[in-house]
Amino acid sequence: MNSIAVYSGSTVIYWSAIVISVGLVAALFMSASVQLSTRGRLVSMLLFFPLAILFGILLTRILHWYCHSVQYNSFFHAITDYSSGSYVLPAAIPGVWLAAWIAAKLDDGDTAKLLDAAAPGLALTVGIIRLSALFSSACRGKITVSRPILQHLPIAASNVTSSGTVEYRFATFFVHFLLMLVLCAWLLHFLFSRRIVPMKAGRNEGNTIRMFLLYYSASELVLDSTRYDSSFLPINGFVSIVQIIAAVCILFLLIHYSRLSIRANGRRFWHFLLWLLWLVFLGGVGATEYLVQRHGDWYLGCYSAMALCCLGLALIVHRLYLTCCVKREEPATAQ
Amino acid sequence: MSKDTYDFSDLEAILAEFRDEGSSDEAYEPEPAIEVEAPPAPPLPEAVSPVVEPPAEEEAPPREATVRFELAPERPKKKRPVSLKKEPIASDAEEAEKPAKRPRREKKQKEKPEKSTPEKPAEQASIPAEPVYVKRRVPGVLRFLLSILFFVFTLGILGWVILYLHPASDMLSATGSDTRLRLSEKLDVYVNNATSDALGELTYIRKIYTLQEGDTVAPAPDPSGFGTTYDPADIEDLLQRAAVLLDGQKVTFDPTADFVPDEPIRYYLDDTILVIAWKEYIEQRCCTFAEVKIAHGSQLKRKLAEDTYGTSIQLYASDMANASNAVVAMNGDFYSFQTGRGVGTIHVYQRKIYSGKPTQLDTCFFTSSGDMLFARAGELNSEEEIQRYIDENDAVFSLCFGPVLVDNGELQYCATYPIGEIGEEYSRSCIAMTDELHYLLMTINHTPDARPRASVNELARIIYSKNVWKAFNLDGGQTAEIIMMGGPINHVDYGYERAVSDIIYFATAIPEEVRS
Repeated sequence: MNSIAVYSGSTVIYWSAIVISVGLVAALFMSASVQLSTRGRLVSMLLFFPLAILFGILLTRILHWYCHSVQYNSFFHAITDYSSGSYVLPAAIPGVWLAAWIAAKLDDGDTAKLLDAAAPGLALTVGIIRLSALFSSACRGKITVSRPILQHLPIAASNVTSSGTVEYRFATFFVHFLLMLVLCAWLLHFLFSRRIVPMKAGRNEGNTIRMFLLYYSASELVLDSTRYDSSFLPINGFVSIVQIIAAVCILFLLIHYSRLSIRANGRRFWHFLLWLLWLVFLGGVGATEYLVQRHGDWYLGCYSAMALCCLGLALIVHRLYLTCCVKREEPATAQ
Repeated sequence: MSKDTYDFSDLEAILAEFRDEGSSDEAYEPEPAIEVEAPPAPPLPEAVSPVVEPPAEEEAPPREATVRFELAPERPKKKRPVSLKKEPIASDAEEAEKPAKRPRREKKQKEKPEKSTPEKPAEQASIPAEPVYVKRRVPGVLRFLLSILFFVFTLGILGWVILYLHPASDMLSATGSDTRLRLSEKLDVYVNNATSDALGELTYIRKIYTLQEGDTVAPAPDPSGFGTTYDPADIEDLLQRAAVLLDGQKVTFDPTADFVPDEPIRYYLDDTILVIAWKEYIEQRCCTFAEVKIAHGSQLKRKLAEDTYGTSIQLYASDMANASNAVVAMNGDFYSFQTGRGVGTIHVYQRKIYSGKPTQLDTCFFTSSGDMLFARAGELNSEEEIQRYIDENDAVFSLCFGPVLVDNGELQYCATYPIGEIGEEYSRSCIAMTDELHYLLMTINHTPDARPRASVNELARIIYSKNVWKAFNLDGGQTAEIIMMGGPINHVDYGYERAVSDIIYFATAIPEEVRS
């Protein structure tokens, strides 16, 4: 498929850019409707969204420049010319937070609540961005799929190499797109079902965005390893920057919910058990990453184990969150 | 206040006043309001005054305000909202007695003026110094206008995204340079190849084919040119057929060497390239060699992943070799891995400087005539010096790893080096030159029977024993590999290739249409 949708004079519009824009519009409408249905203000969301896009693009480009400075003539060129170059998506996390903070401050709103309303839309946005890779031949799975019966979505995507040959590789971005769609739907359910459940400690606001961060990070932790174009820090060529950010996010959430859980329940034995299990899963992720880098032909076993470990990491944090909530809902007040 | 003093005709005005107050003071309450059980309404006395009760948000329709009559001593100037302060329950009250044990955040919240209870308790209200915080809300009309403005802003951003955002288009000016027409170079190559074809029909002059420097894919090799044998004597026949190409040069291949059992000797021959690849034991180590003789320097090429310098993409060396129609290939310097090590690098690709920092590493330049030139660490300290070096020596590309193992026929000893863990026993790879357009590629690898690998100085000693004129160390470990006939011919560490950023390869120069 031709990656260019419109070519007129000096104007070139790519299919991937169109798909991303459509996805952003869908995410905007979703977030706005969620915001209104949770009695938030539309103006906050409308201010948040463009700021989030701007900050997100800027930060993702800056991190990519930091990891691949040789691709750009200069830092200024990297942040001003977006016609070439690439991005490191998880770097948008602080940009989105900053945008929400500004939007909330300007409208006397609540940052956490605004981000909660935006969380399903953010999941949808990430998913659409991943989907757009199919339209730019950028679905860069490391694993080559040679069996013809598997050479179709959602397992494999065709990729035209620089020499013009067609090869089929694991459709890592498409799988991520599917996961983000599921996450988007689940976050909607979570937002409307859990926000009425009182918490023993901490606020209810912000949990939805934290859940998005948790499961998005877990998915990135394993799927980024399946890419052959991962970005690495200049000082470290073995663990990708995306995996580092994802692991840090999950660790941050573990600490946050551990503190809340201890405040709500006191320090219990099962806290130590959960932390130990979390460390075991983290070790499992590291070990499988090490193995798959050395023994590329073990990818099936390694990535299966890594996916389970990442899921385990996320579920433990989720479990800690549940311990902060009141278990049984209060009966409805008498009419 | 008596009934007479209050006129019901003012009802509409009062209603309007309360509506205005309600809208301007509309508190931002995203949470469901805490339901406070209202006390039972007192029985209506005779003297009543109309008081408008603003409708609750959840009650529909919002416009329908109910009017309740009650004793109205004096309408307050400020609206007195119902205090929503919670009475602490027993357990909370106990907690409240221990303020020191409360979490800091809760204490802060306590200290803050409560949003939902703007009215202070009676005893506190008498304290004049207490500041009154009034939230300034954006008026409704202005909020609507802002919404429109931000929506238009969002649409503008989306338009910009459509026009200027091209994700995953991590192309560099390298590809830009490839898009140049290169008319003169193409003409030269065309004239040269056409002349060779024409003269080949008339006389016995040897044809010299060349490849364009900018081509990222070479002509496919002749499948019938490949072969394997387990008998070293068969190579003698091959060498006789390659006599014209060898032009009197001696080969390194020795039929009496200690070959690795059950390992085939691979070869390829056409008019422009001869390759012999074998494995032999030297000093207990399993060494893989590929001897290459080419007819023209343009047949020695470097390939980057996606043909783009600086891309984040890394590919298996065998994939890159197959994609570029290499007859034989080996790993390069894995430039993308060493760029951030803080040792400085010199990277030249297609005569263009992509990295020209003063480096602590040795650099090997390859000229258009196929020569290897060494620039020692610290020899070239600026891009101007590098450019001058390229121009003076007609250098096409460079490899930055090192150290130099053999220079001008002399074995080099290296005591320390910033990269490559040169004193450790690792899998190693190097490229050497034995004569004009005559090369020797070598790797020393881990083997299933756990043979020792080599330090850099041991590698230098072994390659020097093959009578090479120049030799340069390349990246080792899992990167070290020689690719021929579709895959690695040496035992790669861990039994599986590592994705890398670049390779060097040798290709045939005979155009496919000529061969057919």
